[in-house]
Amino acid sequence: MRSQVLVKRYAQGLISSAKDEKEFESLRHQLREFQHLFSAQKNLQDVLISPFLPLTKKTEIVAQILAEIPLKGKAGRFLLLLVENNRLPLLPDILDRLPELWNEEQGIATFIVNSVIPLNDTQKKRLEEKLLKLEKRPVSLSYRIDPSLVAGLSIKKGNIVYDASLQGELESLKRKISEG
Amino acid sequence: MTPLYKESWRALNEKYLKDSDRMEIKADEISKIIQRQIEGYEAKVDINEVGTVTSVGDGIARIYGLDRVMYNELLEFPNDLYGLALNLEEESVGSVLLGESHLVKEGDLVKRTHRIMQVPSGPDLIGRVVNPLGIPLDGKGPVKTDKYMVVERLAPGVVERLPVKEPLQTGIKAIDAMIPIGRGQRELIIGDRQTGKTAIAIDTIINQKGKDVVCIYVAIGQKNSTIAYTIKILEDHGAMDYSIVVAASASEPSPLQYLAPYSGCAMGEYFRDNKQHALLIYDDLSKHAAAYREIALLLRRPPGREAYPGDVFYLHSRLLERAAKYNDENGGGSLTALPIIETQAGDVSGYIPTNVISITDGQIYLEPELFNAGIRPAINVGISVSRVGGNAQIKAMKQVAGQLRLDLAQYRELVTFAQFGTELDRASQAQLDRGERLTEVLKQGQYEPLVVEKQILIIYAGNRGFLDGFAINQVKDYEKALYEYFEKECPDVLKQIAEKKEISPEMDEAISEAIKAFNQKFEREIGGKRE
Repeated sequence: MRSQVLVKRYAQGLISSAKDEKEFESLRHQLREFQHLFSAQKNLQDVLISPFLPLTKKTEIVAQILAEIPLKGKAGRFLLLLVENNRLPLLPDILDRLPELWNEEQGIATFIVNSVIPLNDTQKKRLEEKLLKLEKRPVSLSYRIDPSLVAGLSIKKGNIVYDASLQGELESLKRKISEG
Repeated sequence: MTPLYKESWRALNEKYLKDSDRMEIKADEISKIIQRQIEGYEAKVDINEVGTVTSVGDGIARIYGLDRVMYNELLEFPNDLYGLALNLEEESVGSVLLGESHLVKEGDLVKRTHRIMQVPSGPDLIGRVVNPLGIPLDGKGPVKTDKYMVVERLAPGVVERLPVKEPLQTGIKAIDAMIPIGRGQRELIIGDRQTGKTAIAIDTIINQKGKDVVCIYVAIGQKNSTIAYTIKILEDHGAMDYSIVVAASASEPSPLQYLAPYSGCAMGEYFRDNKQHALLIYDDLSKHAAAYREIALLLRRPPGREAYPGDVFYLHSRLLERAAKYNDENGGGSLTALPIIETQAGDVSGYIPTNVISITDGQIYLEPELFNAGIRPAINVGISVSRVGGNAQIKAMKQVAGQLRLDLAQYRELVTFAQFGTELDRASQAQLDRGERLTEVLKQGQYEPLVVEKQILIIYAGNRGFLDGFAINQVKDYEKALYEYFEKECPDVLKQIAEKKEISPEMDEAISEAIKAFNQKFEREIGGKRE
C-alpha cells in the first residue's frame, strides 16, 4: 500500500521536473532503457537490492554504470536518487504510472480500453469521439486485450470502470436472480 | 457457514428429495422464474467505482483506489463476498470482510455499492433466527420482507423522547419490586460467568407473552450449542412467536460479531418507529468489545487501555443511546435494552464494565456467592440500582416495595452483626427473622415469571409479617398455596390490584383479611405452625 504512495510521489516529482513533452518522453525513454538493461542483469539486481552492501558502494556502482551508458542529466540523477533512497525496486511501477500522471498534468483524460479482440480503426475512432464528448477535454486511449471479458468492452479511467462486457452483464444477471 | 445453517439446508434438501412430484414442480417453477427475470433484464453499461485489493488476511482487506467511498459503506468483492469500509486513509481503504477471507486474493477488483449496511426488518422477521446480515439460519426459508433498516443510525434526540414511566415487567420478584425496568430504559445485567445473567434475560422474554412487546435476543460470540439451547427454551415457552434471535456465534468472523448488536438494534428500531414496543437483549457486550478490539488491531488502529481502541466507549454508547421511549407525537413506541456484561472474578472496575455501567440507567448485579448460597436469582439488591426508579412501577408495587427495601437493608446490616454470636434483643431478632423470610420470598425458579399482582401479594404478606410464624423451608409451599387460594377463593382481589394498580385503604383491609383466613387454613394443612 505504502509503495503506491511512494510510486506516485516519485513519478510526480519526475513529471514536474520535465519542462515539455519532448523532455518528458526522452526521460521516460531513457529510464525504460535502463529498466530493460536492469531486468536483464540478474547479478546487477542482486547487488543493488542486497541489504548487505553499503549505500555508498551501490551509488558508486550505479555512477559507474551511468558513465558507461548514455544516460545523462535528469534521468541519471533520478536513478541515483532512487538508489540512494533504496527505492530502485519501485522503478517498473513508476514507469507504469508516468503516462497517466503526465496526461493528467496536461489536462488529458487517460482511458484504458479492454476488449476481447483488437478493435479496428473505425471502432477506435467512434470510441474516442464518444469519450471526448463525455469528458469534454482531450482524451488518450490505450488498448489492451482481455479474453476474460467474453465479449464487449470495459473502459477504465482511474477508479471508474465503464463496464459493457458480457462478463459484467452475466455477473449482474446472476446477482439479480440470486437476490430475487 | 455455520453448522446450524448447513444443518437446515440438509433438512430442506431431504424434504424435497423425498417428494419427487414436488421436486418437479419446483424445477419447473424455477426455470419459469429465471425466464421471467432474464426477459425483464435490461443490459446497460455499468458504471462502477473500483479499487484493487493490495493485501488480504485475518479478515481484513486493504484496497487501493475507491477514492470516494463512504465510511461504513458496503463493498462488493468477487465471489459474492461483501466487506465494510472501516478505515479511510489517504491512499487506501481498510475493509473488514463479512465472510471468509480466503475467497479474496491480491489484485481482485472491489466495487462500491453506494449502500450503507442494511438488514431486513419488520414483522416478518418475528419467530426467525437470523445472522447479523439478516440471512436466516433456521431453515424456514427466506425472510420475505421488503423493509430494510440501516444498521448504523443516529439515536433519537431529546425533543422526541419521553421520560421512562411505563413499566416493563420482567416477572422476577426481586427486579420488579426493587430494580424496576421501564420501557425505553437501558438496564445492565452484570456478573461473573454462571451466575444466571442469561436466565434473567430469558425469563424477561418469556414474561412478555401477550404484552405486545417484540423481543430480540442478540447472541454474540456464544457457542452454537448454547444458542440452539436458548432458542429451544424460547420455543418451548411459546416465546418465539414474538421474538427474533440474531446469532453471531463464536465461530463467525469477528466483523459479524461486531455487527450483531447493531443489526439487532436496527430490527428493534423498526418496531420502536412504528408505535410498537421492543425489548433488546445483547448477550454479551464484553465479547462484542473483544470482537471490535480484534478488528481495530488488525486495521492497525492504535491500541489503548487493555488494547481496546480509543472508541470502545463510543462503540457502546451509540448503540445503547438508540434505546428510547418516543413521545406521542412520534408514535409513543419504545425500545428497551438489556445489555449483559460478564465480569472476571467480580471485578466491576474493568474497562468495559465501567464503561457500560456509566452508559446504562442502572445495573443488576449478580454474585456467585449468592448463587452458591441458593439465593436465585443471585441479585445483590444492595448494589443493584435502577436510576429510573419508581417511575417504572405501578403504584401498588411502589406501596409494598418501599417497605421491602427498608426491611432488607436493615436485615443486611444486622446479619453481619449477628455473626459474632452475640445475644440479640427481641426487636433485632424479629428483624432478622423478617429479613430471612423476605430473602426467601425473593427466590424464584427459572422460567417461572410471575404476574405483578401475585408479586405484590407475596411481598405484602412478607412485609406485614404474615410469614413470620412459619419456618423458612415452608415459605415456598406457603407462596404456592397462597396463589392457589387467592385464585380460587378471592380472584376479585387479584383482579382489582391488576386493574386499579394501587392498594386503597379498603383493599388493604380486604387483602389483609384474606391472607389471615389463608394463614389459618395453611396452618391446619401443615399441622400447626412454628418451626
